Amino acid sequence: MPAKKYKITPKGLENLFDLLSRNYNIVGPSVEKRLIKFKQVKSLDDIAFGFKSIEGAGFYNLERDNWWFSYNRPANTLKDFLHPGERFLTEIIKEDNEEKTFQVPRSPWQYCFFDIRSCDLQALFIMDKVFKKEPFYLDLRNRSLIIAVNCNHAMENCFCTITKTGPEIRKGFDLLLTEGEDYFLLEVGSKKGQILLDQVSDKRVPSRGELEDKNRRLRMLKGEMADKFNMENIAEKLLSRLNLTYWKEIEERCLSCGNCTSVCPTCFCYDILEKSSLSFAKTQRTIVWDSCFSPDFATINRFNIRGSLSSRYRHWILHKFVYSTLHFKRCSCVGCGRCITFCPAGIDIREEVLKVVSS
Amino acid sequence: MSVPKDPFEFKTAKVMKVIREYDYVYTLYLESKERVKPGQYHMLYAFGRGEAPITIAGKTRGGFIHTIRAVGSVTKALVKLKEGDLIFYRGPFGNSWKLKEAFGKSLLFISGGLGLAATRFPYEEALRVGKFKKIIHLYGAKDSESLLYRYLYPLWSAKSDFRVVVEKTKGNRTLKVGLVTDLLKEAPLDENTMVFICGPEPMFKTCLEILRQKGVPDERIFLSLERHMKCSIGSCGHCMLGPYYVCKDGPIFPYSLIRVFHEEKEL
Amino acid sequence: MILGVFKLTSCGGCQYSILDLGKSLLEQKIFYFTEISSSNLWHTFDVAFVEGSVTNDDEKELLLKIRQKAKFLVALGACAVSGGIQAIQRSKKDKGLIFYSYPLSDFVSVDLELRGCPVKSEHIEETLFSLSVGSVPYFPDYPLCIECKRKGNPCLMITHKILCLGVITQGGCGALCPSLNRGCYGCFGPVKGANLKAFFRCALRMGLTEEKIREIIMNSFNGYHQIFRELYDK
Repeated sequence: MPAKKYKITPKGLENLFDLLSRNYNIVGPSVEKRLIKFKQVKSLDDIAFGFKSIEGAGFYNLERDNWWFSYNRPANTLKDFLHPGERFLTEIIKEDNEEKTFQVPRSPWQYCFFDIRSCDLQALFIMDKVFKKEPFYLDLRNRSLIIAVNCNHAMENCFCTITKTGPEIRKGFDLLLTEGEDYFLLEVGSKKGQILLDQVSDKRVPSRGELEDKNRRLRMLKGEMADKFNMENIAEKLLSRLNLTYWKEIEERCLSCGNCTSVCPTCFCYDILEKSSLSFAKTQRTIVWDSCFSPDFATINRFNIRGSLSSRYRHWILHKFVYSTLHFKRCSCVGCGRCITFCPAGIDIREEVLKVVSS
Repeated sequence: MSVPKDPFEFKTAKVMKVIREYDYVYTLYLESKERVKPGQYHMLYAFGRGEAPITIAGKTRGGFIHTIRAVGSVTKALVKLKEGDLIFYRGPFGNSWKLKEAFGKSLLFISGGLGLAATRFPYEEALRVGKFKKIIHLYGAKDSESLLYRYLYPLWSAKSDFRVVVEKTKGNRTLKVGLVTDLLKEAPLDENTMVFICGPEPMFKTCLEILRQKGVPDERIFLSLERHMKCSIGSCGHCMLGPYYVCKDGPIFPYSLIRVFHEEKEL
Repeated sequence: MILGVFKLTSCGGCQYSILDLGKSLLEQKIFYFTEISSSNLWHTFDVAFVEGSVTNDDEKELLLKIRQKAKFLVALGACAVSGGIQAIQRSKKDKGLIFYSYPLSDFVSVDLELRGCPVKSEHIEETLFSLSVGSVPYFPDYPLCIECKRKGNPCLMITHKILCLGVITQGGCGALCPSLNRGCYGCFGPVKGANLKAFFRCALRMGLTEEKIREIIMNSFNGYHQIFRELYDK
């Protein structure tokens, strides 16, 4: 059944946001420290409306624009909330020579993720597959609400058309917003979404022209993205090129700093650290983000399986474009471009993949 | 929607008995009603040090057995456990040896050094089940002091073709001297033999070469791999070999599946 | 365990990181620590912490004696690990040098390097704890960037367009400076396998000259570290 469509004014949007803030901890894109970041927000005023990020390889600038949703996806990802950088796991206490363990209680947050773009929504689907047995993730995810938003324009670093993860959002949301001239189209994607929208008073049925407008703008958006490489048979192409000298060349430019894996919405590798006090009475186990670029990531008994930088870079590319198709039947790169923006060396993953497959 | 059990939560087991095998190698008998399969492993926890993945060496009355070599801080603490102590652990994790697929066929076990701790469970299961044409077990150790589970050899030799070889002997004339690969060259294999190997990496390479020369296809060779493991549930990424999570898709792999990634360097 | 704490040429701050351990220090057997005691005994030390760099022959002799007496030698802080801030005199063109400053590793084998200026007390605690249970202390060998990202800091080189040495600096400090919008200046020293060639390329992209980049590194707290020595040959 096609999603029910409505049209609301900016007042209606305020109304909706107000309703959300009563039952949810709203996480939305907000301006902080010279960039747009997902963080907990209290009112619509906290959202980065009217701002736009200009991004390039190793480049990020904030500017003003006249749309509400002028920006694209924020600098950080939903990982910050569903798979945080540091998460306390277990505490073990020794009392009278007896050891007792305490698992961390479930998180109390009920998140509403406000303003999720197509790339981040597709990344969420992949994370759902990765953490399908993890109670911490599932607990938060099952109770969360997704308000998705269609993009108005594309940045230079966007390539969701290549990875086929956008620009149009079709499913997986509770409510979907698309900005029009002086209105917002709202589409319902779930029962939860319908219940919410029923409480918004100022809504109308959109006209056919207004719906056509949305489709027209999405078509234009598609055209804005450069066609740098294509994904046809990418797994086979990469697997048959494991020994290129190109992989050695990347060592001239890559710093193995792990920024790309940290900002990537589908990179989820982590470590479990053990921290005890000298008195030996208490020890804590913590989950922290790790990166396959970390020099000793793949060590066993002091033998490092991926000792060279080129092997680690190759592993990252293979994991994103080849291994993930084996695990999830789809490539885990969603074309968000964060790794391009936040690489201090300005390495563009699109160019690198193109170099490999075209040699 | 119900939320599954926390895979990071610890279970407890009581230590029933501890045997010192040799040097820094000890076998722990743990009491538990847990159902375990040959090939699986547990993450054994030592307070303040962390976890170590240890293969389940076998079943015993009332529980299961782990053979541990004290090399790092976790294992050094584990071997200090005494009868009556409680141990925290997670698991069992991993897949198991495909014994059912080999019913009616011959089995060849190749164990190098401490690899015997990993092949002991499927080997004893195979002896117990008895649905195999012929069972051969080749075991190579460094020297006569490092022979593991010596007390079981008479039983094993009575029920199967169990051959032992050591690299060096200090005057013991009853033991054969050489490498396990020497035994392999002479081993009688028929067309359907399934091979199960566990040992150090260099041993894998030589065994695989010899087996290839003898015409054994990769689909019938199974390896038990070792990797640095942290989560053991296939999500932290530390144990990956190519696309496979050794903790979850393994540790038992048919060589045909992993050949590309095993032979290519640094994947 | 029997401990010994020694000081060569340094500000003395790393010793205070040891003192910051507080009460738990009282449970250790400290046989040699001139900062806190006037009765110091030469003995076989289970762990010897050495702070400071070598700047004269007396210190070199002392270091050799410590190495002989210590089962496990820890180079404590930037001075001991790489010669410290006092080693920057090497980079001065006028060569009005007063002394040269050398890291411990130029003379003896070092069992563990504790980075930082000063070292973090938590790292000293971790070292003592690990050694007391018979294992080698583990410290992160990845660049600072990973710690910065765990804390949610955006990359300063991208947002603030300032040079941050974090990409080639070992993590462990908890990303103190970048969290306050100040580019890392490498007090923890270069990370294992630091890619200097790529770093220069990166800094040149930001508009710095090769001369300026060399100056920034050679004048940092760990400018004379082994990994950076190749810069001195040019």
